[in-house]
Amino acid sequence: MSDDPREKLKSCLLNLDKNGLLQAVQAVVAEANPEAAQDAVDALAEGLQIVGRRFQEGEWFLGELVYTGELAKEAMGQLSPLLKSSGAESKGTVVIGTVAGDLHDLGKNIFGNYAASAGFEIVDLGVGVAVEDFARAAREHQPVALGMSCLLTVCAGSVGKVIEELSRQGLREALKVIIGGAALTEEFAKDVGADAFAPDAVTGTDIIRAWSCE
Amino acid sequence: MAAWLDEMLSSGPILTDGAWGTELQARGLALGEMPDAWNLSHPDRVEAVARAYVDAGSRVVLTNTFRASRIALENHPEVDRVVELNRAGVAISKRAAGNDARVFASIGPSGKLLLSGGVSKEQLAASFYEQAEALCEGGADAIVVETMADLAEAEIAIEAAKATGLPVVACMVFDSGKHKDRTAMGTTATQAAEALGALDVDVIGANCGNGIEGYIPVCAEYAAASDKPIWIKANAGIPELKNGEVVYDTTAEEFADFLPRLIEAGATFVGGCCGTSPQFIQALKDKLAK
Repeated sequence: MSDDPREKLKSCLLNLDKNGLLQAVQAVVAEANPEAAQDAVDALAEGLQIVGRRFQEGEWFLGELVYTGELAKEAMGQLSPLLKSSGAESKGTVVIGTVAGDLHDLGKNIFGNYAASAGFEIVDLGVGVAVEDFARAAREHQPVALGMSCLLTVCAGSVGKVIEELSRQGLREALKVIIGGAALTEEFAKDVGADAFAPDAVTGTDIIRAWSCE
Repeated sequence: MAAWLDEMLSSGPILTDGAWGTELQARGLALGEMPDAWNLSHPDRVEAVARAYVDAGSRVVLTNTFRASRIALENHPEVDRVVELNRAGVAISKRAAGNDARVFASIGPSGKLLLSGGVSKEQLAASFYEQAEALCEGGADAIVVETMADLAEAEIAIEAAKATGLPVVACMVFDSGKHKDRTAMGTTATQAAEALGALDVDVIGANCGNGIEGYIPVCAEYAAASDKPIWIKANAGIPELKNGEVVYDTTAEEFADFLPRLIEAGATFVGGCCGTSPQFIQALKDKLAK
């Protein structure tokens, strides 16, 4: 294995080696160097891209996706104070939640972990979030993106209602809307006026990362 | 194995029921409304679904209790009526079944993942034991642990179901991987058959998924890896949202056309999951009669 802590970090993530990963993170933290911390965050992001590719290609499964998301979140928790002390800016706030009637939180949580690992501030509204609560959060937090998750097909109608409410309150133009979950599709996203559909957490994170660079 | 189940199995392929959610929606269940709550608020409409399946030819009907466990109902106003919901669910299906069908009570997944720490094994066990006990007290003939993606969670639910002394059917959902023949956690049908068999369940199965055709190889893999009777309840294809409506691409007749191959692959219990209806069971019955 490479002695480069950043390479080690990436390979530990891809080998699902929690202890090795946290040791590598500690080594970076001990340097107390914001640039090294940023390198480590970039290495984590590269690792997560590979995880995403393996998941999309059917080589890896939900377990690996969830576990690497948790590992990345833990690593980011230790690295981000260094980034903040250097004045590095967050990529922006993302409000996430599972729509009304749907109590599934797994996909939302994985996306939250991945997006947080990519440098976004996450405001998680939880599950079964009412239309007005999404709108209130959009007004209060002024996010760059609002993410809605929906696993149950019977609840898919709530997604469009949230977007309508954002428009009604004049909040829609200021943010992007990304949706995901087993009940939703690309076509559905177009129908309800969402900006993007994410088939998985990694793609979703790529999408909001691209938005943040626009 | 219970004598009645042994006798049932000796009579050849057994038709189960189809989807409940869409049938309840057709009877007024609102978008986002918890179907299981209807066991107490609209028992007559729930019974109408079970009766439609029995009338169509189902010799096994499930119960409207898929989500009626304490963890799956977390944050739902009915969470403190878990026991009532399950007992009522069984009573409803028993009324519809009469002497024409057996009632296999449904236990679905918690919606949480052990791996992510979203729930502990102890919490899952408490939730599934409570549900299984209520289903047993309600008078179920057997318990079906279904739509499980994670063997670790399935194992806990199966132990809870077995503790009741009732026959247990254990079903995984295969919808992931390159060939859509793995569970979301990557488990193959062979691995599932071996793991479920080791838990000494009465029947192993697969439900939901990506359509009936994909479950033929899964069924064959089960049959090669296990001597247990096999239960297959597939979806009517892959759901699509069109104009805000959920649409499945397989018709009842197309679905039933796969029945001979499914039986040849080793299936004993056959029915439908998401997107299927009493018409699908009728079509399966007609196919069996040929």
